[in-house]
Amino acid sequence: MKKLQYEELEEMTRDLQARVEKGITVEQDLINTQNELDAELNRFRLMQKYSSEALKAPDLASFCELTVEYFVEIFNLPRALFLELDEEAGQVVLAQFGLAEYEDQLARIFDKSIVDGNKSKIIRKGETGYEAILKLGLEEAIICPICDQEENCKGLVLAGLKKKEIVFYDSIEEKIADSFALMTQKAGDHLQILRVNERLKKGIAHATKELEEQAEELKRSNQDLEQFAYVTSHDLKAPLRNIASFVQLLNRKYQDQFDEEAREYMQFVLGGVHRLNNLIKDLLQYSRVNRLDAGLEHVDLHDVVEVVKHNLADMIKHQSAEIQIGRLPLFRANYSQMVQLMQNIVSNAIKFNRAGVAPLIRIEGGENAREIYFSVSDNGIGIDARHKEAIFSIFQRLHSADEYEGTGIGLSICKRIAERHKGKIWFESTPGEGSTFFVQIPRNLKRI
Amino acid sequence: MLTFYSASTGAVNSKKAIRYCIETALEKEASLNCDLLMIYSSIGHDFEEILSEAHNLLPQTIVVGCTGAGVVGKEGSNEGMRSLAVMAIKAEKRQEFAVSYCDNIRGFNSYEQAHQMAKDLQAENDQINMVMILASGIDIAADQAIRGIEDVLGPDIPIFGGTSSDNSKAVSSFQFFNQKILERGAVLIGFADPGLELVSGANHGNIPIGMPFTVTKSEGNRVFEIDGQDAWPFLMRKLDLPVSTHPGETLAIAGLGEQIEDDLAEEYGNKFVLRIIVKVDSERKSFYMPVESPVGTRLWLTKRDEQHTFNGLDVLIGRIKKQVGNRKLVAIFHTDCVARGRLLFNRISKEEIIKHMQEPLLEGTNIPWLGIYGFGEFTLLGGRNCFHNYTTSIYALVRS
Repeated sequence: MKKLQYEELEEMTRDLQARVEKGITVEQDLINTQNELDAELNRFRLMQKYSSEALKAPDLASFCELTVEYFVEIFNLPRALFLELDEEAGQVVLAQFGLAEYEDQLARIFDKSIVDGNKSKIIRKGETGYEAILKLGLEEAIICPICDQEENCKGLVLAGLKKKEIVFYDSIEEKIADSFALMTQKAGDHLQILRVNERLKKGIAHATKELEEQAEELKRSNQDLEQFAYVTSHDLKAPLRNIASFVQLLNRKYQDQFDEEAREYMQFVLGGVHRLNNLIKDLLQYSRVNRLDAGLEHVDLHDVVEVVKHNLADMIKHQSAEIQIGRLPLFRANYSQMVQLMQNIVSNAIKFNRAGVAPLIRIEGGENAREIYFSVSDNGIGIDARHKEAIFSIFQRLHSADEYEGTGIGLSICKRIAERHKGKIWFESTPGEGSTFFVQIPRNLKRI
Repeated sequence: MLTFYSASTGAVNSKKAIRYCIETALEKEASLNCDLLMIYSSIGHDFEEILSEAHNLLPQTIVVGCTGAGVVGKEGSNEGMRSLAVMAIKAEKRQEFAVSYCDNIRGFNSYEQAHQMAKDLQAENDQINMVMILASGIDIAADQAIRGIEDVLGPDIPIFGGTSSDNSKAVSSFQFFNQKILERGAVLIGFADPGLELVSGANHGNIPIGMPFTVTKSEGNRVFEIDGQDAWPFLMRKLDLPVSTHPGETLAIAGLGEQIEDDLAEEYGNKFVLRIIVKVDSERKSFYMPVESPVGTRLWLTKRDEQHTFNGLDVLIGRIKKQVGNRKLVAIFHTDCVARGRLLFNRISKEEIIKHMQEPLLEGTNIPWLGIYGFGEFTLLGGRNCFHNYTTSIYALVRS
């Protein structure tokens, strides 16, 4: 009886031991299943991360590099290839990981035998496509085409491993096929977005380049024109001075021998010389506005107006013009150019007066936090609003030289001076009542 | 004085990964340089590329390291095929550390090779006060290696570190010394910073199951027979696995328990130290233990116990914190057994384990941390140098 109890106990212990030992492997199976689930979840987590990083890729090359690196990380395979099929260029290697030594073969891998519709496909020894992947030194590979909406193959992603790597890496398992296809689709979608962006960027860059070229051409043309105006006017000045001197000498010395007709001709010549001299002088001034280095200094506009009044004293007296001066600003500008600007506006205000009405001119100004401004108002003939732009163009005259003397350069010089000071000039006018010219210039200019 | 800096990454491009780690570890330094660079890499990286880029960036720096099934940095753990972590160390004086290596450490010569490496360290600096070891995890007889070092540097020299591993396949693992990639090598790093002290501890959460069995024939660390039967077939029968099973496939379940002295059990939080099997003979009859297994050694099958794992970890970290006390924590080295990664725990549990260690120790600070999932751990137990498997081992370097 006692022996039987011992045997029973021993039998029970053995049975319990076997159950416990069996339990270890069962528990391990559970852990393995959990880990497989973890691995799948991790793949999706990494795919999300890939999508977010791919959107931030600065250019196509970075995106493609990022893509193959993510394929390696997500699918735990050491080698990857990202290939695009281009209608013109054929097979284009976008990026590779761990396949650099097969560079010559990479762009020849695509073959209809290695892709299966739009699904991913695992290729192993003995299967269609094995010869192709063997050329890349791979023993196993998973391949998925990138297809457009019409299911045309536009590229592929391949990931695989060499025979010797199967020691550490696991053989490619069917369970990754779906996530590989999903990841390939993501890569394809991102590639398409990048391609569209690239085309847009190229278009914008091309348009920008064209605009820049046109601007450059315009600048060059303007410079040439200025150069031409300067050289022409400068070179004309000396012979013109000769002509003027000798015509005046001729007039003085032989005046008595001229008949009435000859004297009239001589007056025409002298008037022409005078107008030509003014034109050259104005042209020179116009071209000099931008040609010369203009230093800045503190300019009191009261001083400027006083100088202008002095320069135009004969004209003021002759036209019985009255100039009223209000509050005027103190600011940084080029003194000579400010005198030139003010003189051109004031002389126009006197010149374009209404018949029988003495010119009344008011000059005033002010300042705010960002700029100074001043205006010159007159009671002259006024300007039609449709000449708003034309009036500041060079050689643009609204009246004939017979009506009002002038070269048509004065206001364009004013515009140039204002713009060189990073400011602007404009006018408001009521024809028959008068005009007001406004000038606005930034405060505290550092340089022009 | 030695100063430590760490970083880790999961970047798969080896060149980019090492560059990132070095630059990130040293990002707050005025210049990119250090005197010693320790690299832990998982098995999928291109090691030549890593070492070459490290040399390009830090041409004057001594580089050591090894492979593991994953790495742990202050950024968390990563068991990907291409994970990388580094600890960069700057020395005020070059004599504050010494390094030595061997390229062929095996079960039969572990004592001699370790002895020679220790002598090389001593020749370089006789003030070494602690030794870190990174050795091949498949071939070494770890207890012999410990004796070899102790016989040169004395029994009180603290030895810490781990053995390299692959991704739990138990096929081969690698060690690094400057530009050399070794497959059966070992590296010793001797620290000679007088202000630096080591606080360490180990814990595992396995419990024995069933009845023990006894080694009846063995030679060194090779076990021929258990209970009078061929050792490997005996063990496989117990685990209900075919004899053809590769040891790598059994890592998670074939942890063998060996009883320790009662006075050590309290500190260890366990009455059993665990042994891992990573090598069997070609006939699949005998297997190799990482330590000697004399005839009469009683071994238990064990299984992990989650509650035991977490409780033990909390106790371990609590004890380390208490021992650190008011001293300043300057760096943490960490060796975890490969089996404590995804082999035994799902991702959530594994991350929880890392969190249980890092949160209380780092307390939100940026203390450098370098960890690896290796085959085994060198960790003091009861004040004596000891080799473990299946543990989490923490080595906190502190300064008064």
